[in-house]
Amino acid sequence: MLEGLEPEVQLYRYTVEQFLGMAEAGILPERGVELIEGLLVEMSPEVNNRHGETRRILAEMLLDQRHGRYAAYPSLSLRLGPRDMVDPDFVLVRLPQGDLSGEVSAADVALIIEVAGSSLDYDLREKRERYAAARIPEYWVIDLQSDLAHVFWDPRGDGYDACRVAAIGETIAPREFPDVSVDLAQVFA
Amino acid sequence: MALDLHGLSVERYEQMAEAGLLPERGIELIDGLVVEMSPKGVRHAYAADMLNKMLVLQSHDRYTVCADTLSLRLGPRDEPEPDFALVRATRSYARQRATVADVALIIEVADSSLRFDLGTKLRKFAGAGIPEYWVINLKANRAHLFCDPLAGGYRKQRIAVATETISPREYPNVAIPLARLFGEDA
Repeated sequence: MLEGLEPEVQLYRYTVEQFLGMAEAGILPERGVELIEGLLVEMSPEVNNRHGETRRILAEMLLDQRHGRYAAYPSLSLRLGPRDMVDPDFVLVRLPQGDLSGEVSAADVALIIEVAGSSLDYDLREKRERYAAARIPEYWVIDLQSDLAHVFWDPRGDGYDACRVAAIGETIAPREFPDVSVDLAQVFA
Repeated sequence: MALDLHGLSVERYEQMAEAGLLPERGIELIDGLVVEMSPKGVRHAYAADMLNKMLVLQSHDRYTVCADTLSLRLGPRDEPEPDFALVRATRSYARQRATVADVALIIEVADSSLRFDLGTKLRKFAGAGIPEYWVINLKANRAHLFCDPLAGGYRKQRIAVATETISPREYPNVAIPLARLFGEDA
């Protein structure tokens, strides 16, 4: 993690409040930096538009099938804990909620989806741990390296008790909205 | 996998400090990352206190002793806060703080931070052209003395043992008997 620095060197870890203060003061770029265990982590830039296109297809599928039951946010800053604030590719938030213009609470989230190209290892490890620890009930990683979907549910500790891997030819559905079908052949088109 | 950490420039770092977003003490900027200075134990406090007294007593207004008070801009992403910086008293620092060009000597008192002080810190100080650098090694009761900076290190280095008395190159009549820093003079 610290290429140059000696292993005993302790990095200063920020709180979400400091992180928000930095964003407000214009010290951080508006997108592309997350707070993970108190560290400022840069999200990997995508070299081509496959990531963007996959997000667009997913967004259309999820919006078409929502019928007022959830809000699907592409890009939402979500506080997971005192030192974690992330910006997932998709957040499905249960409706009805109170004022959605305020901060969305992790407790209202039904599903988080990350579309992973170069960030695959990061999304399958660090991100999965942070989401499980924050009790996000379900987490999908749309793996553009192998055209697979990694589906995790039943969070416990910093892991998920249940997982499965789905491939093209299968459809997957959020556990809270089982009639919403996401056809992986279309996602990986 | 390695995380890509978001680095800060010294300007951003100072802006954060001014906005009250950082603690006032105990951190420094190295390679764009805010790092925590290691906690200072009783031997560190004793050695730093003795060193401070000796340096101040012998300064005769030729230099100012900045003990834990100088955030020194070394480069675009480096702003450490050394244990001691001897700053030449050739101008007033009332309105403009000392820069690398004003520094005659930097001293770090090291116990748990020894590898960092002899590694990354040394390379940073040398790279910025700090003419002389001492690491007071509390683990082995000796001092590592460096001078003549090059890009990646110092051309001259030597180790002084606890029985020696050392002096800054720019102020050769300032005497620091190392035994006193290590509490071995009693």
